[in-house]
Amino acid sequence: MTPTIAEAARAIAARTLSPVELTRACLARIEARDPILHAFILRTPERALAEAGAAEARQMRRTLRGPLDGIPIGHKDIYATAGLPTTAHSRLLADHVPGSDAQTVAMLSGAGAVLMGKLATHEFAIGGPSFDLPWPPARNPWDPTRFTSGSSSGTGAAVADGMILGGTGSDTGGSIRGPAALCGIAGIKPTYGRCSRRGIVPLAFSLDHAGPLAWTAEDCALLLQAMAGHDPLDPASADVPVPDFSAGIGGSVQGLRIGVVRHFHERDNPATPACARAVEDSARVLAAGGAALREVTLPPLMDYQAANSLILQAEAWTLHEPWITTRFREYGEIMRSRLAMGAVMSAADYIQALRRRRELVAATRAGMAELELLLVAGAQSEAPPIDSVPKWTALGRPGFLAPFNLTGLPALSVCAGFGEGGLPVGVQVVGHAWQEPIVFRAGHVIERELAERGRRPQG
Amino acid sequence: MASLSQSDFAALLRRAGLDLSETEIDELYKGGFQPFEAMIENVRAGGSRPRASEPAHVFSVNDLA
Repeated sequence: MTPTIAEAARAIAARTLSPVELTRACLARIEARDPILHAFILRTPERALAEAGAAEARQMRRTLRGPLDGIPIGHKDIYATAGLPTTAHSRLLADHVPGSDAQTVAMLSGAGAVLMGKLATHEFAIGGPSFDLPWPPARNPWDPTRFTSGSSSGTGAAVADGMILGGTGSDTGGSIRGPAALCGIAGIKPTYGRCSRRGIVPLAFSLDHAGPLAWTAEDCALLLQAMAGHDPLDPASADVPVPDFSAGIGGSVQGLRIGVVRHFHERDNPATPACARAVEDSARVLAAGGAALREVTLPPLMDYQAANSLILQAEAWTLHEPWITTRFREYGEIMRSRLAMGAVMSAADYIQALRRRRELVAATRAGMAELELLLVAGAQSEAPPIDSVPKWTALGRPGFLAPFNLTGLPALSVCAGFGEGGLPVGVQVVGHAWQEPIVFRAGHVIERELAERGRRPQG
Repeated sequence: MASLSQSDFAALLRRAGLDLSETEIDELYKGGFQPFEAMIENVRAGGSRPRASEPAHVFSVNDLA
């Protein structure tokens, strides 16, 4: 079974695991499984083996760069990679080869991570799952007839299946946490401004977050450690200290005050029994660990969803206007249909959404005033059939993820068990701005008790 | 805010530079726009928002420093 990053890092440091052999094992897994799961848009085996060889040389010289040295990862194909195509899963960028790495790609590379390839996404991180693009959509490794969620769909599939140990994603309305929940892994959308967005194909400037996905919360903490930090060339990047994200892993939740937001999944958008049970199971586990839980009421989920969707639509339209008005049919059908809504908004609609955003940030802060964390459902259902996903998903029913894009708060999705058909279910742990270490601490406790991390997709 | 008719919706698409067929416009209007319009109504808060309420993003002179 593919090790976690933490396990592999310990073994590499102890010289009981060869980075080259680990990389070969992942390449073999990719060879066997990717023809079914379509997680990769581009595989880079020669580069991976060369980078693993360099890591192994450092291992032998005892000059390892840290816990990511020699760890196979992949990048969502909206992250710029110098000299490698970066397509955004779109025919419009099919031949796009950036001249430099995204800032977070460079940081992960500098930490010694081994690049296995570029991963499927929804087109430009919004249009999918689509069957009319140059590459097929990724499929869920727990059941390949099922949806991965998106848009970091390839990362979700590849990590869950053990093709890579971790990878990058982006999250504008839930695109890290959705795949984490449906693929049964961990994924964090850190605080807005924590990770540079420079070199990542934008979707909506004020909502886009970069972050990692991995098999466990602990592994996400290790990846985030390498990705976080101030970037003066990203106007949204915050010049704040970077804490030790792993510091709380394995620590107690004794005394933490946690608000359980039940109305999101009980009233605002009723969840399946297994998804609702995941929240209650997680609450029980945290309470057993000594946390003080109480129910908390936030504004209606649709208030968050409406503001998030309108801001996203306006900003995405602005970005795509030069192309969508001249190359409309080169986009996939889902992408162009979703983008088109931005064409009919007024400037006042956008400003009203921004005013609502300020109100919701204040209301959320007030709701969390005497709490360290929120516990929120991770998804409305287990993974649905991939061919049943509606074209306008976010417009129909409000999701549980957008509130934390809108507010910028750190939100971690962890696996909290399995539901119908053996498909995974997730929950979100949400913290105050810059408090990711506490988020990881609580997420790790839930995962340890509920996630059955010894259980992987078959195949 | 008055609800937008399909012909007004089509006019806005054309004004934005999208030259779509009637079938495409019909699908966008019936499938996408109606729930989208409800979201537009939602953020307007029924006209109850204070007139001076600030948006989340305001210009900061620090950006020029």
